[in-house]
Amino acid sequence: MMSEKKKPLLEVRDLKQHFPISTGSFLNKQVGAIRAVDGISFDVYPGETLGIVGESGCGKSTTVRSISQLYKPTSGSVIFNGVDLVNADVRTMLKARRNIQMIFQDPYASLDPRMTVRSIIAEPMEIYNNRKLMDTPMSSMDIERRVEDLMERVGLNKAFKNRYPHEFSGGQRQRIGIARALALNPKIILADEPVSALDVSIQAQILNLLGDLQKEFGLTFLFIAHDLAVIQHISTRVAVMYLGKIVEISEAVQLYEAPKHPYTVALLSAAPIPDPTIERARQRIILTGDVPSPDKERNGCYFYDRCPKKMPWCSCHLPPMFDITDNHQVACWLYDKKDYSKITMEESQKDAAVKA
Amino acid sequence: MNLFIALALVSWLTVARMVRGQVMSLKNSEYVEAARSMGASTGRIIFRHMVPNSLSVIIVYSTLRVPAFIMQESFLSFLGLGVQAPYASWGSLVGDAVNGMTLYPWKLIFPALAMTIFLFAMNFFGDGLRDAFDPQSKNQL
Amino acid sequence: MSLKPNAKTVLEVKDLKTYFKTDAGIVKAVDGVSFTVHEGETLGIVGESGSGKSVTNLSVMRLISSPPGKIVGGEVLFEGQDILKLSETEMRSIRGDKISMIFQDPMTSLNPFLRISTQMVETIRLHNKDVSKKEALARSIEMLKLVGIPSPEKRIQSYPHQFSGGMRQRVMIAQALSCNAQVLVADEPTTALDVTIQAQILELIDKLSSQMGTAVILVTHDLGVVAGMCDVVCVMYAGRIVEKAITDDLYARPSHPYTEGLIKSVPRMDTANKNNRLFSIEGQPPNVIDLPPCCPFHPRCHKSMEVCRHAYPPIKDLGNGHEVACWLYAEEATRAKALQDAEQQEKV
Repeated sequence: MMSEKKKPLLEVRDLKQHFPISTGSFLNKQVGAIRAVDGISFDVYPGETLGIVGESGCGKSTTVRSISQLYKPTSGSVIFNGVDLVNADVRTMLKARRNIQMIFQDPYASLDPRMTVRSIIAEPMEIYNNRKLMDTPMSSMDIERRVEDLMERVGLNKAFKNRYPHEFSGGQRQRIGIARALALNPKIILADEPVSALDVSIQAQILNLLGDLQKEFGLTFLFIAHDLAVIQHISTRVAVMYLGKIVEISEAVQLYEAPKHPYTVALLSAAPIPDPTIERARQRIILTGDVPSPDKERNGCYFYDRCPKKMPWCSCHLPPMFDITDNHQVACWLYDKKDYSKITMEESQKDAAVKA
Repeated sequence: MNLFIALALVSWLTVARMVRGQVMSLKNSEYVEAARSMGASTGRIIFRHMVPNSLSVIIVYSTLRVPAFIMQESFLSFLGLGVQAPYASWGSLVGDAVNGMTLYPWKLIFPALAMTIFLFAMNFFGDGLRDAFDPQSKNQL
Repeated sequence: MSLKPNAKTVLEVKDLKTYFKTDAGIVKAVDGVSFTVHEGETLGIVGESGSGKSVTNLSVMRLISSPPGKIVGGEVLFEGQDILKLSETEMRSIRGDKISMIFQDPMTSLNPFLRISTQMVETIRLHNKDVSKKEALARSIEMLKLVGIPSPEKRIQSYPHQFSGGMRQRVMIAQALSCNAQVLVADEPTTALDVTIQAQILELIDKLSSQMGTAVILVTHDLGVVAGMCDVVCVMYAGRIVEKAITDDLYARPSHPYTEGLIKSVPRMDTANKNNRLFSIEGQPPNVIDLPPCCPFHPRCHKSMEVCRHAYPPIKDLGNGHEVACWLYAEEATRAKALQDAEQQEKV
């Protein structure tokens, strides 16, 4: 469901989120930074699901938190429905937040253990009601009714609304979190690994629920996960992140059928498929080395160290996003029109020094 | 009265540090993040989320401090710096009894026993309070 | 992955039962589990949380903490002996030496305060009393090289926290195999690792087990890992094995409704399943406290029958080593009798 002619609901441009590393208990000198998100740009169109996939340390969770302004971005812009979130004042941000809600990964930690289910789901409504930011102010009766409504919609028995989170299973808690996110009728839901902590059978239930809710309420999703199959199933478009950068972004089906970036190719070949015949026949590309930590500034491609297709040019030149098709972009020198394979290391380094 | 002020002035530090530790660990919990993403104000986060979740730890800690205070007061009284006659405290009673220990052992035994029993009782009281405040110990679904 | 027709039986578990006594009642974590592992074979145990798969592993190693848990029945035959009947000292000589275990979180089996060299040398010398420290160190370095740790002579002097997650898992594997164990028990060894690291570790386990002829018991919840690594698979639910088969057979012809549901509810990367709903098994995982006599899966089963509510199904052999515990495969007469018996019981 591509809606490229429509205006994007969310525009992220060159977003950077760096966390300073400081030493010294007294003077707190900054000695470096964890570059969790290091310059990413993408659009999210109304009604679609953009999946962000990557391994640990790639910055996907931080991206979501930077967008919702839980962390103040180090630089870059986040424009939601025409509103600049990074520079917004408190009141504007509050109004925008009504339409941007989040679902979290850990069903055990994302609900306050001392609040009843009813209070948890009602909280967003109470906050906005008290600040008089609702379209129509809600009475407590209205709020009660909506809580019950939401509970039923996500598959929970409304008779349990006065129970505490620990009395529910993981999957049910996640449903509570989803009900809470829906309370204000948001336009976009940022889902941070919502099914990663759930058993396989419950995962399927929750994925189906999210799909149904999306159709019913016309929701847009920004869906983070590390499980490639889950992302494939639920996303319209997918962005692959590595070390704080987007290395490839494309329509879901295209990405899985014809991945272009060497990291995407390796990632897809490493993910196990529940079919023994296929598994036996597969040619795996096993990457050497570990997933590096994002604390160094790099002059070249971030994937250079582990890339099976690296060229000397890649070690000192950061690749921009190249267009493969209208909807498929890759950040890899292999896909530039120019051929870099014959350039030696010396020549590359000289070129980089000149450009610096 | 001076005794109370003296003890309070010295002891608030440990309680404060404990509360600070609690708040710092709760600050990063996911449900606090969730509240912030909903637009909750700082005040709401503190009173609605952090206080109830720190309360149980703080209350238990406080009840366990009571025996410690009593011990501190007892030592001061034993040394003669605390409660003066005609007011009595267990510490001063023990202090007075030590001199005649061999002749009148019960003067020592009774206050000591009373103090011990009270300390144990406060301990159990603290445990009970913690269980009462903990929603997780209520019936499971 | 190898399935030799006449391979020697290395470990045989018969009707293992491990119960936990809790305030809420008796949890029958493992309730009659039987399987056989042959030399060089990889056996997979698949299940979700609460299925009892981890407890099975721990029971085989006799690592269940005695209150509140207790192995209440069954046999675990290793080299002809029932290791459940051995004394703790005798068991200790087997653990680490003949049967080794690796865990999900490498930090729990690696002492964070000791250097790797100390830990590995200790393991080797514990089981081979006449090996000198120097020899043990040399062997440890050799093992580290085998598992792919770069510059092992230098890195062996490091502490666990100086390694990344994937590296730590490799160290744990090296330690586990340092005494040439015959059976490697792996409890979700790659669940906490990234996909690309997982691929490395699984390939390593595969390579080492074929090189050293080690039998592997791999416990996981990931059906993809099982498909790629295991020769034989057991599916567990509520403390029992509901289906057991050769991997190809299990995926091609899943017989138990739970297995079928599980396989169908996993999203697939290789088929474009766009905007379709996944098959989902309704309901919640079972409450294994004081489970009544019935098939524990029946409340969630889309094929359940009357008899499923009253009696536990018998195990039916479907041929070629494929076994399933489900009333769908029992004869009509057996079903009727079971229903009758159950009704008699209830009248009493």
